[in-house]
Amino acid sequence: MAEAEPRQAIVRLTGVSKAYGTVRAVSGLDLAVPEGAVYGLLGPNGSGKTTTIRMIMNILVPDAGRIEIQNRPANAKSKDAIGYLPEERGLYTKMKVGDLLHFFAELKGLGKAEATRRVNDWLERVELAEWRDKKINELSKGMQQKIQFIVSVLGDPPILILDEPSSGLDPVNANLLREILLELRTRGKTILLSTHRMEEAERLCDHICLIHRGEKVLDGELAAIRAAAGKSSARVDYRGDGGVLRTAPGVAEVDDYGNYAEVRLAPGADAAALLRYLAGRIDVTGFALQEPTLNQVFLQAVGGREAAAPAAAGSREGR
Amino acid sequence: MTKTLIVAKREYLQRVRTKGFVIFTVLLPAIIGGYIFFIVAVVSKAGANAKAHLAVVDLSQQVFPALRHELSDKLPNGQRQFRLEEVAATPATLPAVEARLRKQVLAGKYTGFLVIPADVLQSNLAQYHAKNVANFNLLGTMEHGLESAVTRVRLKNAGIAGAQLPQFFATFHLHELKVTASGESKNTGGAVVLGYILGFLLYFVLIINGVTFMRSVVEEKTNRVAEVVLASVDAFGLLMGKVIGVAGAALTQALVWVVSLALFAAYAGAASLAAGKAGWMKQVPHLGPMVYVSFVVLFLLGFLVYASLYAAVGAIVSSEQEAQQSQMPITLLLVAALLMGFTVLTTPNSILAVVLSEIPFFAPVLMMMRIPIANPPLWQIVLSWVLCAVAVWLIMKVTSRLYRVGILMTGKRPNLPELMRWLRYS
Repeated sequence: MAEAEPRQAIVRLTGVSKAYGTVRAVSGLDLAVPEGAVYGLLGPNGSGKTTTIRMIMNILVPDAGRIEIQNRPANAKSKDAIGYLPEERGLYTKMKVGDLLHFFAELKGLGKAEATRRVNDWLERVELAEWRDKKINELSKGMQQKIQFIVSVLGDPPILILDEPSSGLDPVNANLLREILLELRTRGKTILLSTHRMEEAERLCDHICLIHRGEKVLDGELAAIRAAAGKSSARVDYRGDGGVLRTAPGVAEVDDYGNYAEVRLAPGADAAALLRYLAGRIDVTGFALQEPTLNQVFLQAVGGREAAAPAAAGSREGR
Repeated sequence: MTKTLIVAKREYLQRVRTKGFVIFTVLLPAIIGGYIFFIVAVVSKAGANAKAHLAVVDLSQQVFPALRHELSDKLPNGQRQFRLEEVAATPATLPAVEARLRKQVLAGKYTGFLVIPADVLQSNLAQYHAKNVANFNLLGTMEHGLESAVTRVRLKNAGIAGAQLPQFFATFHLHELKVTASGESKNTGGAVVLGYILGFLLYFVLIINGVTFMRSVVEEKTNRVAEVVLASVDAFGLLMGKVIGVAGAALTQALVWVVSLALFAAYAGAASLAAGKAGWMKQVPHLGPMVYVSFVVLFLLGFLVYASLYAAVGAIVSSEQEAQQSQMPITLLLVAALLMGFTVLTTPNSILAVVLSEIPFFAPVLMMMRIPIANPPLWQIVLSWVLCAVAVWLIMKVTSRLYRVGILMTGKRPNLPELMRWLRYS
């Protein structure tokens, strides 16, 4: 990591590795989360995101490498600075919502009055105020998700670590979550979130780190990463048989979504010629050159590696 | 530390608020109390029903008056228990008299009839004819009465009578005095049951709370709440808090039981006094304060030792079914302690007994047995407490390391080499 960092790294991993028996979940991972960033940890299922996060949380201990939080080695104490939303959600289902939130507030060191104030504020904010005296198992899945989120922000920590935060949320609540996250960012919080959904990261994050099979593929500011890839991509809105896209001249790769397709252009391809070619064959309702989507960037980066090292360990799902 | 206490508080409150806990805590004393009430009621009722109307054929011609004197017991309601009626007969008329009496017994005129043979002073034999010859209480009283009556007659025949007689029938008592360093004290023999009481109390409390506790450890793992809590507390703090919380709940339960049992015992004692059957109360030992302090301390520490073992099993297994199967060895440890109690009771100061009573898994039962009967030196008592506390700490250290790995593992139960690897992982 040679380039100068504009902001102080609040979470820093240096050469972190973790293996389960013979399976290497994370190997030699370097990572620096700038203070105040919304940092996306991206990668497909089983790529080592959750293991990385659990090591930051001091739930797992790395086999090798260093983890620093606010410039101090991570330990049980550093947990106080972090709000954590694990990938696999869980709450004490037999507790009342209010009691449960108070319990976690106390664990984060809040006094009774302060805890009550914050619990009420947050329940209000996520529109669950009238559920305070209901038991957790009376809540719907989505409501439990929101309670779980409150647990992570209740202590008002400077760092927020969210593992797949929007999984299981309906669009309305996903929006609410995004609103809250942006609000927290304006208040100077650092947010580290992991996701396997590239478009989500694209919307939320200003920094990203792509990992694949426990290794970093690329990282940096999102804008810079996409700019580096250039306007080598086109979005084609169309009606008709999209199959024709795959055989069109100058097309390297197609992500066909039915109503529109994202097309990666071969190096030196002529976009205008492509449009002319398509116009005669399908009903093109829109055509725009753009920077490649994160998904394309990722596939490209991983594709390069796969070619270099095709044989690797199998899936690490569930680790 | 404060976080551990916060976890402990939650665990305690959650536990004592469950229906199961309330039911067991209240129900068990209620059942035992009901049983005691039942016994007391039956005993006093049985006394009232034990009235007997007897016909006595005294062929010896001399035992009847003495027998009437012996069987003069009065029932609590002031009536005589036995009504005796002498029926005259000779050896020649006996068969006819017996036949008549049999009919009268069947008709319900008499409860039964006694036939005292002419040679009773030599043979020590008599016959009792009745519809019910299984009323042991009644039979016992009659037999004892006959024995005394015959002895009385013999003494009289030997020329001993009047004021001299009572001293031959005085009840004999043996007073046990235990020799201790601080002089001699009164009977404490009955106190050995304290070890068993503590053992069984622990056993019940563990059966009721241990499994549900272990289940809650497993449940926190399987429903993933553990990871949320671990975001604020380390594994040691979380597990220690849970163990302390459940121990608090267990102590609450035990106190409710012990206090209510003491109340029932007081009730039974009062009832016995009223019924004039207070003999068993002499068995209630006189105990020093150290015994009571030790009882509470050893109960709490003993529970902590076993609860930490349950936590260890909970940390390793990944489903509740597995947990059920794996808890067996833990209860066996406690049963082993109860069995070793027999050895310790006979030789409470042997080296074996001393050593066994210092081992944390056995100390709650065995040290508790030794304290009232063997007067172990203070250092032995305190050492057993310290060892228990150290054992809890060590078990929890290892358990929390296993837990950190186990929490993220699903699937089959790990074998020993895998467990060793888990310890290295964390």
